[in-house]
Amino acid sequence: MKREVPIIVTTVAGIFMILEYFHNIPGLANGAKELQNWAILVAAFALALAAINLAARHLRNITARHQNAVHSGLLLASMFATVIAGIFFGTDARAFVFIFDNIITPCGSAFYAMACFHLASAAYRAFRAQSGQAAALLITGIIVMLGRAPIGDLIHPYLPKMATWLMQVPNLAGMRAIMISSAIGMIGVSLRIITGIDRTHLGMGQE
Amino acid sequence: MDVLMKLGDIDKRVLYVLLVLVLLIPMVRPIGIRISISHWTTKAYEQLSRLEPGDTVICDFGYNVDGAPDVEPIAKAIFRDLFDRNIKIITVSLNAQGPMIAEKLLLPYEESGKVYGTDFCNLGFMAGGETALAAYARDLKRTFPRDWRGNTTSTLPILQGITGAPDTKAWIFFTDSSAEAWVRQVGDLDVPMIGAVITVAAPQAEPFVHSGQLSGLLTGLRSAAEYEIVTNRPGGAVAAMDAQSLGHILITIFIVFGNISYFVKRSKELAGREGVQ
Amino acid sequence: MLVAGRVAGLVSLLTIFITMMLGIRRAHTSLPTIRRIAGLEAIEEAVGRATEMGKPIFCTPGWSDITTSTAAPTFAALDIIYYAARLAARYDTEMIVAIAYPNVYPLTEQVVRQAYVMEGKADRYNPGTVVFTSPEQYAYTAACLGIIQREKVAATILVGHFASEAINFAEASAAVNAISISGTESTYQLPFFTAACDYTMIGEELMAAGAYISEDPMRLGAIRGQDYAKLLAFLWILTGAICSTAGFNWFEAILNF
Repeated sequence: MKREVPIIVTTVAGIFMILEYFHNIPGLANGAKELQNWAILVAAFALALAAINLAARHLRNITARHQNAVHSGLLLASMFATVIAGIFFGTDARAFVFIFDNIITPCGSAFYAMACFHLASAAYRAFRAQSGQAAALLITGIIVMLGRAPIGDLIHPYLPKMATWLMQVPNLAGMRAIMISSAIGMIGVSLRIITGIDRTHLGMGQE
Repeated sequence: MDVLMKLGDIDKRVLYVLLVLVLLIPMVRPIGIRISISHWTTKAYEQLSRLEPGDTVICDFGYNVDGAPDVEPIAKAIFRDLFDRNIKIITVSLNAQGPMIAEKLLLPYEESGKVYGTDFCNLGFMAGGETALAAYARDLKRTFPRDWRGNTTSTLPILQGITGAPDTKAWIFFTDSSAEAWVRQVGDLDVPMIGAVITVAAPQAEPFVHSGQLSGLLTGLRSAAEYEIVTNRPGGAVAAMDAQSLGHILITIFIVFGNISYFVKRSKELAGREGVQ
Repeated sequence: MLVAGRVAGLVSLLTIFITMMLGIRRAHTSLPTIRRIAGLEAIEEAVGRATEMGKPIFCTPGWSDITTSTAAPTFAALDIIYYAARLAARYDTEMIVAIAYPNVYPLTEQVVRQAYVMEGKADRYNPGTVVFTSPEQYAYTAACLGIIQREKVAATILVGHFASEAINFAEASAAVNAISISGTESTYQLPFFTAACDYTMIGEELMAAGAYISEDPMRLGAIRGQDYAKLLAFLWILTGAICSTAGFNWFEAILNF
């Protein structure tokens, strides 16, 4: 029974949502909305469970005087401060807006900017013309990188045109191929889950 | 020979420091490299320039603050253009951080005289991902009974006569991920849709412009700079373009260094093997 | 009764379902051979290396939830994590799995625990193996980078849906000399993974991974069925291209029906 119930729930919910998407049957839309509300409720409980896991792990670090106990302390303090500001004062209150504007926003932007540095070092480390294919990747990469920046025009007026052609012809063709095959693959995975063929996520891995 | 070989082993911290310098210096002392206008930006601008004063557009905020450095300059450039032409803006958010980001961008216009509820409004965020998007694209007031500021949406003058996206003149979405959600959920509604996506998502979004599912596409900081230029309102994005150009040049130089070193090492190895034989 | 504009989508869905069922049916008589997926085969090498070095392996099913359109790559990633966890349990290698979204956390814990049970080592399962980080993109990124750097992991398995954090993970792996195995359907992150990781599973390879690993006839048959669907899609695209070039609009009308 432990094995069958989750599969039955998945199948019924999956078929219901598919029917709702494709059909205008009165009542189905409300039912689908209700199912989505349930999903939000389940997500809230999952969040509580995950938050407990996070807090417990970092509390363990602190009590065990782990070498990163200070980091764990900082994490717990900021987590509880944000939770208290959001729950007790509301997300439009000054305390929460302060956290959002002065901590979350600059930290997020800093991390996004970090990708630029990692990208630079990855390009320096990995872009070697070791084979014909690698050389093609290297050359097209440089053309696109320079051609898409304003400096491309100054280097050679044809460079931006080449970059645009590369992006809109060979790149687009490849992207479309990957998108279409991924989409079919995604539909396949979803159908396999709905029909109960795939059930690893339920802790029912194959031998 | 040794020097050439060492070109491939430069400490990455040196690269990082140089990158900081080439990005920072042009911000302080701009060089003024000329920016050409791409086909995509022209297409998006042409679509938006057809709007008349008094028309209403929906701006959907689907990015986090993390993606803001690349996407937000587009939102700023479009807001400035639309508000200057007295076009009304309704903001909605597919992302939880969206309403706060929208509030921040709308505040300067409110301070300069635009009236909340008449010239613009912020309907807030609706949980539920694509399902929520599909719902509010079809019925704004039903999906958002109250706006982000707590007003009853049915009383807002800007929403009078507007049920969903087809009653507006354009749908502009800003996202730091894929454009697919909007293409799937808003694409079949009768409204021109313009995507403003993070630079790395551009190749994924471009097929939707070709297929006509998007009426225009703006991608990252470069498009923001181009939009600022076509609307004759140069701002922060234009200033950042010099930094981008120099950054790309530096990375290219380091890639060339790496390859010189690789070929020198390889030729030395080959010569060594021939010597042994 | 049917929603206008979605009929073509329904027909496509039913076609894929039928081809999948045909593939499964055929699998009862002849098992399909799936081509080698280098990224998957490298997982055993990666776990072996970690075992020799006495260092942990790091896994993450990406920055995605199971309630959005990125659910399928997340489920596919769980299949790979299950496989890696079984290997880790078999060789007594430490494993750390970082999770971004709360919904994915209980599922992953279940999957990893089950892997230990299947290897007969339920008592060796450490509840700290699966760690929740944050659904905030860069809080998740910071947590993962911290784990990779502090634990000096021997291998990183980055599978599922990723956004701009992909390049950060790949570079952090290189910085600690870890073998990096990645897989994503996210077309705009694939170039970064391909350039910076040792092995990359591209698009549908990730989706097919579960079937490849399990060697289950039903799942392998379903993959063959998907290939039939791809063949039909190819013919459909070809017909569409010819019709559009020749100026016949009826093809577009069918798609919009």
